[in-house]
Amino acid sequence: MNRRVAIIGMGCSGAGVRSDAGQEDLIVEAGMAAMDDAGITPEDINASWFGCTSVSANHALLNFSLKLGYTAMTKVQNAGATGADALRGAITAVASGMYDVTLAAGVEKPTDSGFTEFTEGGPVGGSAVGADAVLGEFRTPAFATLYLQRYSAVHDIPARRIRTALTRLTTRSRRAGARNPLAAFRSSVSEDEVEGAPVSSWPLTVLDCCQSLDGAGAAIVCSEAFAKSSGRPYIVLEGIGVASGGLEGRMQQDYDYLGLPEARIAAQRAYRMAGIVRPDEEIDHAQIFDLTTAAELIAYEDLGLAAPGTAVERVLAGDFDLEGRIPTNTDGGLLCNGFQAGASGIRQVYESYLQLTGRAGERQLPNVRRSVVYSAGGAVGSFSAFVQVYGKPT
Amino acid sequence: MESIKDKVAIIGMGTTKVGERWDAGVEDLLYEAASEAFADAKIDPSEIEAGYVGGLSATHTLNRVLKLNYIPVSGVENACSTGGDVFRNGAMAIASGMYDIVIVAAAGKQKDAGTTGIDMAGDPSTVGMEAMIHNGSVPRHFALYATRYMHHYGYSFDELKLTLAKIAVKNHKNGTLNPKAHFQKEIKLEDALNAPYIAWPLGLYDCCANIDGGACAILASPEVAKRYRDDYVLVKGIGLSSGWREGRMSQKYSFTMFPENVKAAQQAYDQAGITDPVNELSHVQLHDAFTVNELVDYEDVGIAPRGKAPHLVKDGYFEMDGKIPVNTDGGLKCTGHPVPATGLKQLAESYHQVQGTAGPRQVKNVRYSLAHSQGGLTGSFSTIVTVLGPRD
Repeated sequence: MNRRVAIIGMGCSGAGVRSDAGQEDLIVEAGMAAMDDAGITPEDINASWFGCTSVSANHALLNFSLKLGYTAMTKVQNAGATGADALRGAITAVASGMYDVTLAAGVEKPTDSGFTEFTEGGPVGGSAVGADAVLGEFRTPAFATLYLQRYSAVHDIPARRIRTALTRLTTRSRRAGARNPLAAFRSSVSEDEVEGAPVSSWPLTVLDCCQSLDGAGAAIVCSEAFAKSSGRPYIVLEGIGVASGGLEGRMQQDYDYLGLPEARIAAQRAYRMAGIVRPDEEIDHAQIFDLTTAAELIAYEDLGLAAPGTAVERVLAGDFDLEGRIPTNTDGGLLCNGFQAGASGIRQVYESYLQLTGRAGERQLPNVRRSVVYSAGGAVGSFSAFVQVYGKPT
Repeated sequence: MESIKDKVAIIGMGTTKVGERWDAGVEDLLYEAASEAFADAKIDPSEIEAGYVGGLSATHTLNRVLKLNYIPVSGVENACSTGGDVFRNGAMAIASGMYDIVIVAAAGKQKDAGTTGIDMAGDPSTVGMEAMIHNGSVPRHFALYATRYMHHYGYSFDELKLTLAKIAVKNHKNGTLNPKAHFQKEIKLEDALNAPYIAWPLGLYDCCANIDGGACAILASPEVAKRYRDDYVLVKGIGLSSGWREGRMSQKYSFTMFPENVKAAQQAYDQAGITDPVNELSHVQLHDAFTVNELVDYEDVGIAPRGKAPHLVKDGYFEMDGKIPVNTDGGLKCTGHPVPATGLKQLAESYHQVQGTAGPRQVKNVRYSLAHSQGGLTGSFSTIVTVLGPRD
């Protein structure tokens, strides 16, 4: 990259069933918090990137809500990773030198649209054939369980043991969410509650799956030079990697279903840029896109935080617990914050930002020098995976 | 902030035949446009490192159609200037130093979407001024600028109508030279003057048609561009301004200009180092979704003095052999408006004019060419102005 990029302010709305707020209100909540945090006003923003999957939410919504005047605004679209892509747009623009101070913001109001549960991912009109048709009929949790079954068979790990690992992840995220005032779910759950909950897609229960909920997130992305001159706390982007699939998983017989090639490639790209050779040793904190705990489990291997075939073992050893070697989803993850296609990617980074700047309150970890954030959108064979590595100022 | 000048090169572009493309889906149009761009750049798709795409419901479609597996793809949306913004984001990706070669592409199948006619934009929940302006057809939005322009500058209905007709005649004449245009036939002044009204004072020939088409560009850093061709084209400046609904909230909004155009053009000129657009631009592509749009655009981008554009139109200033030829490909009026792809299609004409490969439409001695792309509605337009120029 031609310039070092920093995040100097962030803000998120509370997540949940926000019947008290429209899209504009949520944008104001997150956007004003981010600007206050960065110590800037709307006039300081050169350009913005806006993530929202609602078609009617055009560029005017952001510029209107935050009174951004006539500044440049791009709306991005990348399925479940739309928020991450908004951040990427701002990062790329700052790195290019075109702009010094930019805004990445995302919002979603799924409780107004009726899509609070997972919709079927199949192509409209029934035009899909073969493997595409089989996969297209599935809901998101069902996609995830395909990987679990394959994982169990190939690595010879009993389903019961996998189930125990999933429970560990769910109880950990809920414990973290209980300490996050912005989370939608702020209560712990017991192991029995998780495993005794209704099955959504075997072996996942409803408590293993996140819910689409209302929320917004915003980040002020700027050049490191600007951040430094402001005298405020900030974090720096050390690496970013993105990979988008082209439906290979639906067309190739040897697609392994043991992980997401997109996530593996995105991680490699991010680590190369950040100069990371042993992610499991060089990363202190992780934010992993957990639409389901199954997706989280698999991601540990894709991101190199656990060796292939060892994720279950690592989880059960407590590596990714809040007190573990690489504490993960310390904000409660999507499991507690809900899923907002346009905002989740930004909200995930918010936790890394707080941890790295030492402002995570009662969730604060003792030694965070480097945090990895993984977001993804799409479906089998056609994911868009985003891996970002953030660190402290040098 | 640094200028993007000379940091990004275009090494290939492709556009589809625009029209009622019942023979092709969005995927086919993407493939058609990209294949032409690959051939133009003499590049193998496997050399491409990242993609930016507009107009697709799923970003992975680009990788699936073009077999660009696992490159990063971002989806960009910016109303009718989506194509221009896809290009802008791709250009910044090159300028950031993260990638050496980037593909930007967009395709629109307006015939399938059912929006080839005049859809009634509007949200039933709006109130007041917002409802008055918003709950109407797109031509009606632009008709407001025509009536106000007449009133403000003291033109009679006949004078304005003739000016708009001349713009339509010019673009239709240019369109006959473009084998990819949707409409390839000349019209007479009387045809335009006597056409049925769509939104008074705008008639049928004052409005472009939303139609099917795709466009694609291959961008590279200038160092890498040299490996592919000698006559690559350089980006000299890009400006984007997005409105914040001022036009719907302020009593002072003039309806005789688009503030977004003025700001976007100024940003692009500042980056390109252009201080005298009239004498420094050789060729211009304006977003003529409506003839009045083109009329006001002349003034907004500074190639006509305020209130004087009708005089210049009368003198043939913007015709193929005029001082600054505008919309040499036939404009949106004749090439059509495949919404997400239009901005890229505008840039393709500028690219060919700068490169000297515009065939029968070639303007002599082109140095700088401006491509303008405008999306949105009153008070909340997103305008992108891009200036292209030759290497060295």
